[in-house]
Amino acid sequence: MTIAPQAKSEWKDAHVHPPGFRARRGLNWFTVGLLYSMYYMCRYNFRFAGPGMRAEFGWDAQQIADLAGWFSLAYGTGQLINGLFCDRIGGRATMLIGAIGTIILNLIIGFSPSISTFSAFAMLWMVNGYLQAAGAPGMVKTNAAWFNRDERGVFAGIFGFMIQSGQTMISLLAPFILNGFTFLAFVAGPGEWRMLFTLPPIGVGLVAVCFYFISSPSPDEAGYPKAIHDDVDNSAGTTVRVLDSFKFIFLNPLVWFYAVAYACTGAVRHASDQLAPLYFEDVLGFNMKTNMPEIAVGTLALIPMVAVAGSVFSGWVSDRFFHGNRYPVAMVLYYVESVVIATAATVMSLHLIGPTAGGILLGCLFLVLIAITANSTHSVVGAAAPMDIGGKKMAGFAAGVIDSFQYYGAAIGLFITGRMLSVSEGNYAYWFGIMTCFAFFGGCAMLSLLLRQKGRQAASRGVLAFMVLLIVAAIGLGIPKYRQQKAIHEIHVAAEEAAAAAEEAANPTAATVVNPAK
Amino acid sequence: MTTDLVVAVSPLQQKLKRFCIWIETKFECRIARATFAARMALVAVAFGALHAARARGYLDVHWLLGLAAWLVFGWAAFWTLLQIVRRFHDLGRTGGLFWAVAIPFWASWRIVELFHVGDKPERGWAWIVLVLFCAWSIGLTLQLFLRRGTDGPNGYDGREFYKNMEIR
Repeated sequence: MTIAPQAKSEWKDAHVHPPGFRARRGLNWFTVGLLYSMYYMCRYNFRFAGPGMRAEFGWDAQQIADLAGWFSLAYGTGQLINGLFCDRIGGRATMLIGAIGTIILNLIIGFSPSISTFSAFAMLWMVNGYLQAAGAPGMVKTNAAWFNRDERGVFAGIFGFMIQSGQTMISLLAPFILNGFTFLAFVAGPGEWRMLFTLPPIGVGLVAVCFYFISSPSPDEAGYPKAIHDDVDNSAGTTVRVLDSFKFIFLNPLVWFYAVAYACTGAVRHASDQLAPLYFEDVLGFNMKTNMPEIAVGTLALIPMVAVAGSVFSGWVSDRFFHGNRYPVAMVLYYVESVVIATAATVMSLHLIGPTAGGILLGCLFLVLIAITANSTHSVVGAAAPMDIGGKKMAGFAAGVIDSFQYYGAAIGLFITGRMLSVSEGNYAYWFGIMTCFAFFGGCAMLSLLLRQKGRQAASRGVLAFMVLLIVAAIGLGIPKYRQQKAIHEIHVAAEEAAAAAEEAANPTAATVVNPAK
Repeated sequence: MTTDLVVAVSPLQQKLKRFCIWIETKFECRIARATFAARMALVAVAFGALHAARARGYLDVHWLLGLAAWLVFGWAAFWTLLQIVRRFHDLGRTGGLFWAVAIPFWASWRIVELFHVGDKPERGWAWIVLVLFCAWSIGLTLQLFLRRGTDGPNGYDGREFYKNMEIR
């Protein structure tokens, strides 16, 4: 044997797992990931139903953004509460409870005739948000028990694949449903957005049954005792008292740095995900209700693919070159993201994005680039970091706290974006601009953590002070700007209404409907 | 929190463990160029037959035929994966390189489908980009068929092989 293969052989011996462990872990990982991806089908169906609901109920872009915002608030709160209980009852039980809940809620929305009022739908969608929040802590907790620290980055990235595959599935299924279909004696007409809430839960139910039989909360319970070394607590079992978990996670400063950064990921990721169909309609001139153009379907399907590539790569880099430390990789990703989105905002302001061949291509390209950077931080900060901090016993609550901030960030981002889009009469440069600010802020949070971990406390505090200044400046400059835009918008709306009333008075037979969103 | 608990393993989990050991063992060996080429030819015939049957509409005659076709497809895909991993092991390289072969080809195929690259002659430049994108995968594929395996143990001969070697 030459030296190289000998070294390779020694390396293999050092990293060897018990026979069958890697395949069993793969199987476990696959069922957990598949169930989580199916969760996404019962959540992302909303963005495809949005245009249909807008047409049927007369809701405007701000209300659609508000719904997504309320969902995010409920989801974030659910993460906190469910994460805590997840550490007590286990990841597997938590995921199953969430799956059953989301199935019931989606079916209620799909079949109920009383969801036409905004408040009724918002309430149901918030409850769905709370139940959906059982997925992430359960998933992270289960995987923390199955992976060593230096394996978690890549596997968090690959987990991104399972998550994104849920988005891809709904991106492919939704146009099929919205175009209308026939199955045996069952006929669904074109544009029936309610079907988006009745078909995906069936898939969740089927996968939940497989999950119940195949998944195991830890290697110990699958016949592989002591196969994984946990940095936090390597004793057997995966559950812990609620109070212990609460104290350990809440008093850990690392959690809060990651939580702030993850809020920024949420603001960018959700703003780009939830408002993309409206952007396609309003900026690129696509028909997203019944007959989606191929480039829109292609972009929505391509986004998850590139996002996965970015997630796996960033996870691998953090494992391979940073010994499982996630913050340096996350910092670079946030700053790159802010540059990409700032470029998109500039291009948008120059009116280069629009319903022309080049404009459509540019518009779609920027969405894809944003997806790569946003989802890379999503895996590294949202999945790998909580596993490192909480270990197999407290990863559920660690993930809950960090992930809840993603959704609080998303709620803030969506509320601001929705209002700015409404008063600016659909100027999506604001959309990009707001996302740029959040991405830059996330980079600063990770820079502060990096300096703190290097022992440069004063510099770290300096960055934190700069971040506080940024918030004060954003509020101080943003609110007057919003009020100014709102006043202009109200004048435009009043002028349009007056013109419509004058036209109606002149020609009473041709009644004109004024869209309050305009 | 530091107490060691004895965790019970259910009969179903024990069966899954045995199944996983069996699967993992299947990957832990090596095959030579000639065997690999012969098996790939067999897989190509299976895929070709399935494609032809689908194109002629034979699989739509009865749903059982469609199901059988999916099963054959699944088996052929898994078998291909197995052969590629074993061949990489023969070359002294990790089986994980399967993804380096599969992902660029798969992504290229998706891009061709999504953007109708094949139907539009004016998008000829896209083919050049895709070939460059797949350059590493093409190189690895050529190595799988043409490069001779390493002499003697190379670190990928399987757990059992090394266990026996230590005993000697």
